[in-house]
Amino acid sequence: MLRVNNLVVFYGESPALHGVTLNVAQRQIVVALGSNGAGKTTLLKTIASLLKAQSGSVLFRDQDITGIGAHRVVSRGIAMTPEGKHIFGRMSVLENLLIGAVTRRDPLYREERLDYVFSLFPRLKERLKQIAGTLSGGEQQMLAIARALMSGPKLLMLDEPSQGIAPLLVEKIFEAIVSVRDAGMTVLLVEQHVDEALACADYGYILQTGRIIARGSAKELRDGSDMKKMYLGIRPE
Amino acid sequence: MEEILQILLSGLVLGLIFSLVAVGLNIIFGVMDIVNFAHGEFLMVSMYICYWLFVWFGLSPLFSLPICIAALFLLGVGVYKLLIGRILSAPMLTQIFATFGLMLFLQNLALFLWSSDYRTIQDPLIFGKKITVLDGVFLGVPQLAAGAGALVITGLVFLLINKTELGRALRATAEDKEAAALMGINTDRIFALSWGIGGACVGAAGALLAGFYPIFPYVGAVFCTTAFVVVVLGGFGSIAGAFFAGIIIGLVQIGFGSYFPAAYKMAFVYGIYLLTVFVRPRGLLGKS
Repeated sequence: MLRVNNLVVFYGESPALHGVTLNVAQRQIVVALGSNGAGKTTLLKTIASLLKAQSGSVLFRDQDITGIGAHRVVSRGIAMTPEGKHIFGRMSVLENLLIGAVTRRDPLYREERLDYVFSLFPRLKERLKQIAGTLSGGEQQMLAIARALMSGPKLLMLDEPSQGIAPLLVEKIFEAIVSVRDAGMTVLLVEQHVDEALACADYGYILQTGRIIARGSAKELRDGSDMKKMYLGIRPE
Repeated sequence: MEEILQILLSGLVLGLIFSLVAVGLNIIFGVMDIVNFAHGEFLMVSMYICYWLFVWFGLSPLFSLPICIAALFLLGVGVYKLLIGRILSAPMLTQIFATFGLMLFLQNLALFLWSSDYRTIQDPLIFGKKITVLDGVFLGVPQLAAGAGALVITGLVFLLINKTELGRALRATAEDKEAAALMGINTDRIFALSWGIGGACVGAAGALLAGFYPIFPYVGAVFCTTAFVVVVLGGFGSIAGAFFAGIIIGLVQIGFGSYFPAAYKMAFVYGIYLLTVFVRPRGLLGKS
């Protein structure tokens, strides 16, 4: 569904991605793991057309979407929740959700999407009129994911959805991600919480300083605990 | 008693105009984080449009109003497309010089084309007419039209920003440009529209002023510096703040101008500016 071919991206003077190739199959959760500075966020931002690629291409459903502009990427069916949530803090929860559906004008479709995201995160429905900036960290992340789902994406990209969230809510977020896949969408996830991410993912890539150094099914990556130690600096539990 | 009422009334009318000018300035600033130093010159351009439409076609400024709104909307969009859009990622100083340079360019263009003469529009429809509000309290018809017009247009802009889909996209872009783009908002289009709407506001203000205020190449400076004070007092990015602050500044300017030598009236306005900066830098309704 998504094919990233030999992507090279510069962040200022220094390269952040040195030729990354990656595939995301339909109806799968694919996770990109790696420590800080590995290039995970750069990868998502380049797919979303927020950053320009030096070379390489991004194909989505067999169409070249490299650098077509962030708002057009959304219309093609890719939504992204950025790292650190970036909800619209001065607006209500409902307004945030409606902004998420800005590419969808049909009011009936919007109602449908609202019902869907409320079934995923019932708590948002209780907070509909609340100013988004006053929500807890976990609720803000739920809102960020719900907002991205409002455009009815075929591919949902999540940049560190578990960052800065209470452990109890992390579990809920991952449950929601699985449920999104089970509803027929495809998920590309970037994470530092390796164990939780691999527990729900189908396939994974490991990035280090802008290169893919390992790939495999989630099970293979889970079992290769030495590799995890080596490349991600994680102590086995 | 009549004197105080008269001052309140005149201050209110002037204040409503200030509000409208400041709302336009604030929309551009809120969305773009760029201060349009040429905002006053947009006002001047609008007033000259009224003037020439009156001289050539005898068109009353009241009827020129929609033309000015449309023309200044286009001017705003044009300035964005030709100038501002090219320096979005440039250092702040470059952006300041760009709008400052535009200000000097428009002022000197007006001087070159139309000389430094003060011109007035003596529109037979409204000029010199006034209504009696109470015994001894009068309001000129041009001023009445300007005050009412500014109030209505500011209200419409407020509704546009707060109650429509487009306004929601504007506010989202103002809050977080990258997140707005990720939602599918064409931020470049929103930037252009913010310049268009900001221009339309000041275009309307120019047409409303043209009915009773002298028109000359530097007229923008009078209103623009005051509009900056209004924006600071009301709070950067706040439409409602700019509205109330505009009325306050209008009342202060007319009030103090009536009881103290007129030369000092701006001292009180800038006194408010300094007080705001020291005591409440985010302004009356600004976000911290």
